[in-house]
Amino acid sequence: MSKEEIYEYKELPAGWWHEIDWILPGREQEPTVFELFHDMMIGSIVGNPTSLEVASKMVSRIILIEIEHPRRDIEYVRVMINPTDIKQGIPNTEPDLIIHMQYYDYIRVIMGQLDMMAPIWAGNGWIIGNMTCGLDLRDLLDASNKGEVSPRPAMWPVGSP
Amino acid sequence: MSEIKKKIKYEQQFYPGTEKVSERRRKIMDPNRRLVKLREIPDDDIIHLLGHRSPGSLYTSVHPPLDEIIETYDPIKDLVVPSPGAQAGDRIRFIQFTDSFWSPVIAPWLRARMYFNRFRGVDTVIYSGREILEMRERDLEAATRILVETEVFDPARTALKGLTVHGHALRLDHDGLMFDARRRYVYDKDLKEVVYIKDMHARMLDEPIPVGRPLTEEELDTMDVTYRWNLTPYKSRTEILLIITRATHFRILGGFKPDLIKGM
Amino acid sequence: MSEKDRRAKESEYTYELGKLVEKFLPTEQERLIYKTMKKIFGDNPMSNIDDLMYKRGGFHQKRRKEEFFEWGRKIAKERGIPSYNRAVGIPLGQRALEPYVISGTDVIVDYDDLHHVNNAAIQQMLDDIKRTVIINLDTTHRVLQVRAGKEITPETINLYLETVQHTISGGAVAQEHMAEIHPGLTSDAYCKVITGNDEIVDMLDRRFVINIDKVGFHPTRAAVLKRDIGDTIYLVVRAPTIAIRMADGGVTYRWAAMQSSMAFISAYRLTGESIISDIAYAAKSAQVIQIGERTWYSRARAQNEPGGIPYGYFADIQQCDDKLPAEPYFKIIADDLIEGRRYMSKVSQAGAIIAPMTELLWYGFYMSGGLGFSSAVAAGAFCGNVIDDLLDNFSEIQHRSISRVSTVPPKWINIKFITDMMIQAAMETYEKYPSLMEFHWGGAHRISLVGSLAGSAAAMLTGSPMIGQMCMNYAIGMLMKEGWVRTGWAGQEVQDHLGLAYSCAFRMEEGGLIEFRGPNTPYASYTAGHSSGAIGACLSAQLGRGRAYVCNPIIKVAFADPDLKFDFHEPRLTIAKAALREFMPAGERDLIVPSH
Repeated sequence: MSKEEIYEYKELPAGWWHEIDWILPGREQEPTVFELFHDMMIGSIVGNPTSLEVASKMVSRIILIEIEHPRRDIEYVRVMINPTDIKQGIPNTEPDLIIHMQYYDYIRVIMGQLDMMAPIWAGNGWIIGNMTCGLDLRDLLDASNKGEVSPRPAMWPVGSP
Repeated sequence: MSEIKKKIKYEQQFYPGTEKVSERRRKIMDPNRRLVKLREIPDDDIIHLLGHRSPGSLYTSVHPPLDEIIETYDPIKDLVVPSPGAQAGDRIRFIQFTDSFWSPVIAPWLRARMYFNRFRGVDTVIYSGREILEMRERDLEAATRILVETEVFDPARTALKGLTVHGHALRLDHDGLMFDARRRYVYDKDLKEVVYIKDMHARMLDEPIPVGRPLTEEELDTMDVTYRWNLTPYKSRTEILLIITRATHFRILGGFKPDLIKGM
Repeated sequence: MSEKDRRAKESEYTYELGKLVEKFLPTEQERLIYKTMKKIFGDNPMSNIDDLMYKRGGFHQKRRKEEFFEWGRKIAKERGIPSYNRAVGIPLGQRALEPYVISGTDVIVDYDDLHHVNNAAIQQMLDDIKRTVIINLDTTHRVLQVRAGKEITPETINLYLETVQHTISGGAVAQEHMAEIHPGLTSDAYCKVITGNDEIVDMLDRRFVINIDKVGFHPTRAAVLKRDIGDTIYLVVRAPTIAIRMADGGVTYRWAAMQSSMAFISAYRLTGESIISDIAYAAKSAQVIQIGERTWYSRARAQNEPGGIPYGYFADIQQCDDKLPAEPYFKIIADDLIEGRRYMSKVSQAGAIIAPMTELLWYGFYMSGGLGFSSAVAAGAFCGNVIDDLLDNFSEIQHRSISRVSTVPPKWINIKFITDMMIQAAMETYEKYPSLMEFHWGGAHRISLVGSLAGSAAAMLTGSPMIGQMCMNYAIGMLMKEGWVRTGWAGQEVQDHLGLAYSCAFRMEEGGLIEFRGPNTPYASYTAGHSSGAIGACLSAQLGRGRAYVCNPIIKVAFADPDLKFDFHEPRLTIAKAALREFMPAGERDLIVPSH
């Protein structure tokens, strides 16, 4: 989404996941949140030198992503950065950051079509915890989707806890 | 029915969070957990530091012992067991602590929570630069023993200050002690301990009173009760943030219309 | 090895953050706070050891304290009764008596010069507010036209305006043999007209008009102000400073009514007829705009005193935002970081009016008296570049993270992340800078700053002062409290806990609309440190909505008047001038006392 487009929540058409090249083939049903992040990590982040470089500079983080699907139960995925790990469910320790979002906003975010903060600003999601960690995640997604990261604000440089 | 009983059985949790700062706070607030004794200060020295009476003198009374008073029946007085000081009719006196901002082993609001949980018959007022505790005099002396001999007192960064409490937010002096405009305590380089040369009210003592060695930075790092950006970042304390968010949300809704929070 | 053994637990991955500190020193050294604290303390601002503590020479380290000492001795000798006396005073100067840098300037002043009794500009700020009242001239003109059959023309209005300058200063018009007031004592008294109608402005003597297009408002603001004021002619009356110093703010509207009525009598050739009571009523009651209401019984004060001024009026009185375009903030910050920073900086500049008025004067003087509260509570709002640094950094994070949304909804669960981020960053700044902690040495100072930041940011993004107030209360009573287990002085956070429950209340005893609450709101009137946040929320909400004023466009224009003694456009500089003994206030009695 470009800076000029106004954010609007919208569901994706049926079978949308078949159009995404980094989603593993064989996903007959609409992927779960865990499956999506897992596929993105393997297909888009791990193979991207920019993403790896960005991730290597970060402090260890634990992020809990809580996604509301319009027709399914709430799904949880725990993402660790440095070392990198993804697990379905709630972490066994206090996460640094909790992101609560709508499913289709989440898809568009990880596909790079929507800025991560857009649904938050618009009131369709919320975040609690370490916002610097949120900046780190955003940088990781930008690196994998766009190949570059935006400059960080002076007070929260890369590697800042 | 047993299921319902299980569900409604209340268990005190004291404080949210899983890391060491939250654990410290829980320990201090939980009256069932013993605070570690770090030093021994003689009774007379405690009385000198408090400065309300001389050692050996009788406690000043404000009313006869309760056993000697005939009062009209009051069910609350029947229920509440008087503290020893109340029983004897002691006057109310105070102790006032200042806790430095820099790696404190205890801080004002935690003090208040601790006082309410561990002591009886307390009257406390919480400031940023000081916290006053008022109790019946003999109860106060008993409480003071806990407050100065255990892990909730760091001789360098916790201070007894009756007046002119300025200093909690200031930088430390060259000996690592909290500032005191009235110089009640100094660091004795031979003894390697903090020594009080004045009492809480800044009156000169006849004999200096040593109160123990300052805790090291490593010890303070493990005993710090505040979240620090470089040790346990407050930003990452999602459990606490969730709870205070929920409390705030309910307060706003409940203040507007209590029905809104039903079932939440 | 089983899968259970192989799976690493999240809790096992901890990181040694202490070692990361050194990495970020170069970043910290670029910050305004670093440079300012280094300037103030002359030392490494990130060190928590003061090697010179107790070794600075006590009160002798400050020239102003030595001056107090000398004066104390002089007074004791002259009158035989001791006065200021270092022998019984607190042992001053054991700590650094640091100089204060006025934010946004290079001016360094003594802390004592920021006390309201020592600072003529702060006094004049209060006086200029107290001595202002606004009369609706249309009401009186109607009376003249209907009851007396008089014609109201530009010529008659100009004659009236010229006459009222004479009467408001204490000159006689209709009555013979009146003892008049020396004009030199009331040289600051005058009247000017405000109207939104350009044709009327063109017809009136320009000396007697506050021309909305020419007093510095951005054209988009001027257009809104003129539209909302309309064709009505308002008379802004400035009673003499000496009058309100002899009496109180309650004399202002009486003085205005009396003297404007006399001017009507003279200009329109009336006499002591019954019509005068209608004119006086029009001038004193009907559609008169007082700056402050009377306060409740146990805080009883007359009109126009600070306790009775609504928060929305405080936000309108300040003029720091006059040159900003009337555009919603979140649209500005999404596109233009520099312009967004300007918005933030104007809010921080307004603190130089809001904090002294509410903290120093209302709470510290009217409600307390004596030494009052620590002047550092107010000084924190406009000294040390603290708020400027923090807001500057926050505008950058907003610019980099805000996306194109149609509006930022005022929903608590969504907006609170901004409060969390900002306040935790502010708390971290205090932890990184022991010198800053020493500078804001009281809990009251820190909660005042934290509350202002939280309230302003949330309100500016959403356009809702109610959300701003909620975020302020949350930031102090919940966020800061649980982080440090330390807030302000006893009960100071009472109004945060109550405030959350009262935030949406319209019952008067609980508060009502945020813009119409004031320092005298019952649950807030006992504690300090929060008015700045509430007024900041009102002001920021206005900027967030892209409006030209908060509450009352007439108040907004009335205090844009360049002939006021205190400059409400540049409050920091004006206060700094007074601290340097370069500001001349009004109401001085030199003309009637022996030379000294």
